[in-house]
Amino acid sequence: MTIFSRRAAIAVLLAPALVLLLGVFILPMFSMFVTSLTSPEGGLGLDSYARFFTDGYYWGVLGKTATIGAITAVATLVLGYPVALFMARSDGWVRGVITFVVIVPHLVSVVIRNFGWLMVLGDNGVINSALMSLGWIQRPLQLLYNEFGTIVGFVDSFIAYMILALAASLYNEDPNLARAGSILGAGRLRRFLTITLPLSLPGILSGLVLVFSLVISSFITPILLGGPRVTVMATLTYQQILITLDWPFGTAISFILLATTLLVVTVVTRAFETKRYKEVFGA
Amino acid sequence: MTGSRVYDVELTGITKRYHEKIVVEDFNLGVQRGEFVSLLGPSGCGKTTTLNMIAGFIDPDGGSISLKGRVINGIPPHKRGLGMVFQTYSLFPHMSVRENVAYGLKTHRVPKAEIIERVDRVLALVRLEGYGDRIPKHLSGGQRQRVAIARALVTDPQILLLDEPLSNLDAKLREELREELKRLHNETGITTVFVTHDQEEALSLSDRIVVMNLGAIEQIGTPKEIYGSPRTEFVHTFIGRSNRFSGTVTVARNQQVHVTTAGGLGIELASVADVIGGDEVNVYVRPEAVTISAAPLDGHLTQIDGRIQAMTFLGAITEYTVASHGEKILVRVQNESDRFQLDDPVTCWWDPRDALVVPRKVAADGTLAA
Repeated sequence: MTIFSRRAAIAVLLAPALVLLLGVFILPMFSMFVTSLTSPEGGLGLDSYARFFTDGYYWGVLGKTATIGAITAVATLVLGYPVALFMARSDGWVRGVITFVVIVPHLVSVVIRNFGWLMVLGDNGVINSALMSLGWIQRPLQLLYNEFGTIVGFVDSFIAYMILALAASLYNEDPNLARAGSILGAGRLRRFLTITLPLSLPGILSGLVLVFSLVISSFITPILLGGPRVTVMATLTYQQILITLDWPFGTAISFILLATTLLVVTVVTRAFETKRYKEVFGA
Repeated sequence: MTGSRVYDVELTGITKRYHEKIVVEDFNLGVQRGEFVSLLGPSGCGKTTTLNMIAGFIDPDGGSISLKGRVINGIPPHKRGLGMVFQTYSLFPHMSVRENVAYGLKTHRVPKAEIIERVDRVLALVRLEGYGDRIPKHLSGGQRQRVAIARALVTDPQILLLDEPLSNLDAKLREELREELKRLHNETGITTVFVTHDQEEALSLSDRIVVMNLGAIEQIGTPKEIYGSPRTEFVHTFIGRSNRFSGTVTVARNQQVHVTTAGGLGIELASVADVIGGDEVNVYVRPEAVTISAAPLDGHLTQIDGRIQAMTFLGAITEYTVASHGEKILVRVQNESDRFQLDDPVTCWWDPRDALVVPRKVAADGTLAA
């Protein structure tokens, strides 16, 4: 005999999390949404949204944000895939060491790691001094305070998420598939392109979505490594809310960013999820 | 193994160690064109390692492997021109049946029109017409394994390697697919090396069986030879069931050689038995080799008087356990009529030539191993 029915037990167990989510996430978000719909005169209206979409400058910021997000996502994919593959193919202590090396930098704050990049990418940084002492360049390359520096910082910050997402997908591959492929005459490259790569599509998709969402909502790296020239949606929101104190416009920008994220994620997911993809990877 | 004959697969002195542990030792085998050869043994006997060395997934530490007279040591699997079916099917989960089967043809740059034709033909061969567009997930275990067989056969490989292809299937399907394998082998005539731990599969499918134990070959022979005249203790006990009698050799005045067990059971040995008086030996006899009758028989054959202690009806045959002199003798007889009841006094006998006599190992301290 149980006092609670199964359903009641589940409700009791979920209650704390639901209350917390409702109190600190859903309600504030709802109140922010209401704020974003407040017009300067005090009534409700779409003025803030209209202001954003009628000004080419803001469109530019949105475009730049999405572009930086997309480039970072693809760069982490290209750079992270070999690491994830090596991780998935190794076992025992080797895998443990790689996982540790991938994760351990994340124990250090993003701010500290971005400062590290200032030392590497700056005019007197490691790269520029090396190239100049070799005589390959006369003046230092502009590696900081632009999109390039921002993307470098982002790739460093988020590549671990990509690697872990890819590795999770690669672990599942039956090692006999590679053997089957090779017995059927496929060399290493062909096996990778026809077996491993297509089977890791779910990992690629979740890695891209994860990194893209994280990048376009980040704001420390664009400030530190991008400087004033690189304004992204997150820094724009920050300026409007904390400097200009224009809460309706600031909250409107953040909702536009949220909508953009959902749109991009939906489009990318749709592009991946062909009929065959759903058949193979679906439940 | 020597001579001018060119084998389809020839393994000479193959040895493989992992961390000093010997997995396969001095393995010699020649498989003739069109032959179906099984590597049979318990898990860990080295049979799968041997197959993987033929496939090229594992390099031997010593010895040479040739296909049709060409040494292939060091040649990667994708250049060996083999076909292989795996225990876990290992179909490409993201490809349809058709794409799975076509894979090997695409890697060999077969023209598109020919691919379609050959895929159709091989799908018909394994009776999977109409399943071409399904993905492996939507197939039953038996269908998956048939796709795997089709995928291995479509490239017309020189040799087909089968790595326990039936052991993931349930009993009924296993039998069905076993028949299918037999039919495919008859129709294609492809040289086949089959790895299994299932003696029934090996006995029913093979032209020859290689019984392996602890990385070495125990016996090579036709199923009939392996079952009917096992040459080693291991083969006797691993294949089928056997009665074992442990005892001491005594030589009678008339040169007749007997073994007497601790309980006083006397067993006559064939005159060819290579033992001398006083030897400690084990005698193995198949339950089928034992005949059972209600009355003693004339003649010089070993005759053992006992009582029926247990009986099991198994359809076409009945298994009796006869107790005599503290030994239990397992007897299998065809069911012509229900002749014996529990506790019936009976006489058992067998032709001494059907028994295997093996000297018991004497340990360093002088004690005997079982």
